Amino acid sequence: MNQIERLGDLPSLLADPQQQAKLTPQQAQAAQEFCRLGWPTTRDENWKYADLKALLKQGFQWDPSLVKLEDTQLEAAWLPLATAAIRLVFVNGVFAPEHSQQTAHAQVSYQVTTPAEHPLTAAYPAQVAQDKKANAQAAFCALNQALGKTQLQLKVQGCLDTPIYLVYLSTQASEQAYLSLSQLKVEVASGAQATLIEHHLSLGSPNNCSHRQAQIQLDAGAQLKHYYIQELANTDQHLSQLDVYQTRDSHFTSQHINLGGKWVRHDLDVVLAEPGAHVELDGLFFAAGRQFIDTHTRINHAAGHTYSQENYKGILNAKAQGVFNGRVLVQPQSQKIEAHQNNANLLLADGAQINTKPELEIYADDVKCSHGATTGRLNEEAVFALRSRGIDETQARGLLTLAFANEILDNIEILAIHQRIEEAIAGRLPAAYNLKGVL
Amino acid sequence: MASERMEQLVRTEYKQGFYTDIESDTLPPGLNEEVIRHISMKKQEPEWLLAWRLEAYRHWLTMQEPHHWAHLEYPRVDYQSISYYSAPKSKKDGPKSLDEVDPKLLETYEKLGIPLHERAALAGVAVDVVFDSVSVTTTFKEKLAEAGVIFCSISEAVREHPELVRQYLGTVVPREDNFFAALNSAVFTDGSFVYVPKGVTCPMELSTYFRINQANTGQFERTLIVCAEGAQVSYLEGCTAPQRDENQLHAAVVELVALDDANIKYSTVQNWYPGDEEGKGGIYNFVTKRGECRGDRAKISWTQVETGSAVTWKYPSCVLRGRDSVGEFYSVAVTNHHQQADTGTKMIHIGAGSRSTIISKGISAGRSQQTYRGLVKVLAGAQGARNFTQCDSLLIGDQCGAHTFPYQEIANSSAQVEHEATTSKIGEDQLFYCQQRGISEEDAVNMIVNGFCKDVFKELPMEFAVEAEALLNVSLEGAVG
Repeated sequence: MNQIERLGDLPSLLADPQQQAKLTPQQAQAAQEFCRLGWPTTRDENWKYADLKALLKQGFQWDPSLVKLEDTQLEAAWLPLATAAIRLVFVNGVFAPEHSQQTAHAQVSYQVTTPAEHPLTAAYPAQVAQDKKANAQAAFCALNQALGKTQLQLKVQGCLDTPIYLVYLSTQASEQAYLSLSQLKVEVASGAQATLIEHHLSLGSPNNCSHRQAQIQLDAGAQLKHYYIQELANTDQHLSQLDVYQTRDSHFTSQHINLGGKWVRHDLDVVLAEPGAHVELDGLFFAAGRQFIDTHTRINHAAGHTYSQENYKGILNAKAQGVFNGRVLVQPQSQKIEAHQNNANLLLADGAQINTKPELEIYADDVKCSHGATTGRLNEEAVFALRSRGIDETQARGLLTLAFANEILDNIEILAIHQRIEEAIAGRLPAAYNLKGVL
Repeated sequence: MASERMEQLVRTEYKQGFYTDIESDTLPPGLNEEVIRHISMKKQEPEWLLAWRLEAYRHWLTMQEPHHWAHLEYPRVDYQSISYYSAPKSKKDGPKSLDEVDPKLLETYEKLGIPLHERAALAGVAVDVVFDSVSVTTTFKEKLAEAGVIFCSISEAVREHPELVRQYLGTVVPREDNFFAALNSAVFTDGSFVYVPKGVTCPMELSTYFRINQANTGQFERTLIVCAEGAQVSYLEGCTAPQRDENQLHAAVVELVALDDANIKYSTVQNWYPGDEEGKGGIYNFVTKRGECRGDRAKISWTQVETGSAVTWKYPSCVLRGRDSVGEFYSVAVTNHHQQADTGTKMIHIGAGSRSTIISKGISAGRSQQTYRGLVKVLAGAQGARNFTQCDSLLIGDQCGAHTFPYQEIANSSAQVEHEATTSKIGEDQLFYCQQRGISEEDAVNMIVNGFCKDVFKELPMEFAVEAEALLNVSLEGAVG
């Protein structure tokens, strides 16, 4: 079984014992779990705005033997990083060693394997207080476990001063769209430090669907900077689930940038399991045309003396639709915590729509929690202030929009990423917003 | 010790707990079409209203009690164990003046600290008293009649102003709106009706005191307020309930209609029996309140002080249909012991230039759970819509919870929507600052909590503001974090 006419029929196909017999016992179990859960619907609070109907009507195939990369322009597509510890390339979820740069490093080891060989277990121990509203993508993760062909395991054991660069390419593999399923498991050992860049992009305009499930575990005192850059074609569909498990005094920062994709859904679940854990989530999305970008973040303060800060910004143009749902959960007994969340959205056109819900759920009293959410367009007074200084109106609007994005971009320490995104934003702005000659 | 004193104060008993023994004409528990026919017959209702009720009932049968989304946990209500009609036995014609009112009833109000006649005379407030489910006395009718204002029980309105009731009933909260609204539409027994004609400013603040008295009787109030073009009214609703062991269901529906330039202010002080310290008993308060600014420049303002009820499920909302219409929501909610409250508002911006303000203050103590759940929705046509939302939570004690679920759905780029929320406990530094100036810890807490709620209290009519502050102090005085 390597293809399906309608993705929506997958549960009934996988429920067939004959199909399950072809899988390993763990995969068959995952298939059963997937059949039990079924596809989420908009009646599910976590999927209120994310309608899967159109996606489920499409046909997909997932035969890795069909995946080949003909494009010689590949290197022009990825980031011009000055140095990278390792670069691993995945084409439609399948590892492409010929395009990867696999330098040996003492501080980092990795292994490309399959979910069949190394099934992903729960992201964190069961005794850590759970968030009932987590696991929104449980069905997709079960599917990934059952049918996925690739799993990357990364282990960081020391202080790595050059980034680990993962490239996920979406290409037109055959006439039928490709369903790519991949898993990523990252472990940062005690006291280790690393930077991880995940770059999702398309060659041409395939209408694939990719699901990436990732688990990141930070041991005591570990530090990880995570860059997630999604520049898929506006025809591609993408879902991602990221589970971060943080132990004592660990430090996780995330820059989550979304520019492409026709229909995109993210779930970022962070568990602060031990005192001293610190997380900072920054995000920026820019949707235009008829793009749909949905981001759900959940921060679970499962221990006292933990800190979280979150800042997500959205820019929406034309008939794009954006969703942001930021959830902060403070478990009972998690005293002396601090949690701050901010979400700001800029609407450039009347057809654009934003649905945002910053949630706080707090069961402890010695806390400092705040959240804010704003939606609007550019401040006309600010536009006027720039014009009064001789900057023409279109450029004033361009500059102000860039300034809006810069609050997130300024925290990006890698110049190549910073420039790339700034240029991408400038390129996507409508005619009344001009940044020519500024960048 | 501060915590001991807090314990003490948190244990403050429900001061309004008593039970008035009046014989009631009560239907046996259970709900079916016969019960609805009986209610309708008792109320001498016209045929169309009975049909309307029955349709609501049939729809209700197809609905499920919403248990999945609200942040509430309570045992399921057995709708067949509730009696749907209970009326104090009265003489055929009913009392015409205060002298004719059952003295025991008047005594009840005395105990509540609401001297009806005094209050009515001194404060100029007309009180449409709802005792269990039937209006017993109405005052100041003539004065209102002079101004052309209709203020009566909904049953009376059905008999005397059927055209008005029929025109507006169920137009803001449709029968199918939600489970509890459908139930209410089927079995509502009383409530108030207000109609303020064109250009009239209602000469006094209208007020109703609700009481639940009979054990095992749910109250299904239906309130309808209509303000014609340029009219203005301020309506006060206050609730207390006697101490009972079994949970009592209260599923009211309040509908407000404001036409062009009309202004409706609706204030509530809710102090139903919240259950005892163990979380036993208490009222289930599942209320649908919604106002519609149907005309241009209309304004609807909700102000509420919620301190009672075991379980509260309540979202007073505004549909801002008219151009430049205004919606406001000011709320203070206090929960203690095992109380649970899931409350908030919805602001639906349809008209261009519509504006809304939401100020919500939640105070959570003991083992209570409190949730703010709000929606600000701006439709594509609402050019220049504006919303400001602020919801702050104060936590007292480490066993309670405070939650915020604000939804924003914005489909117009010229809209400006802001939301901010904070959650914290009373700061040690704030307390210390007050104490070093010679203010006792208890007074300092009172001061800080009152200050925390000031933005809402200042929106209340004067006599309500006094009552609200007293209520707050009773609920929380000295509860030191």
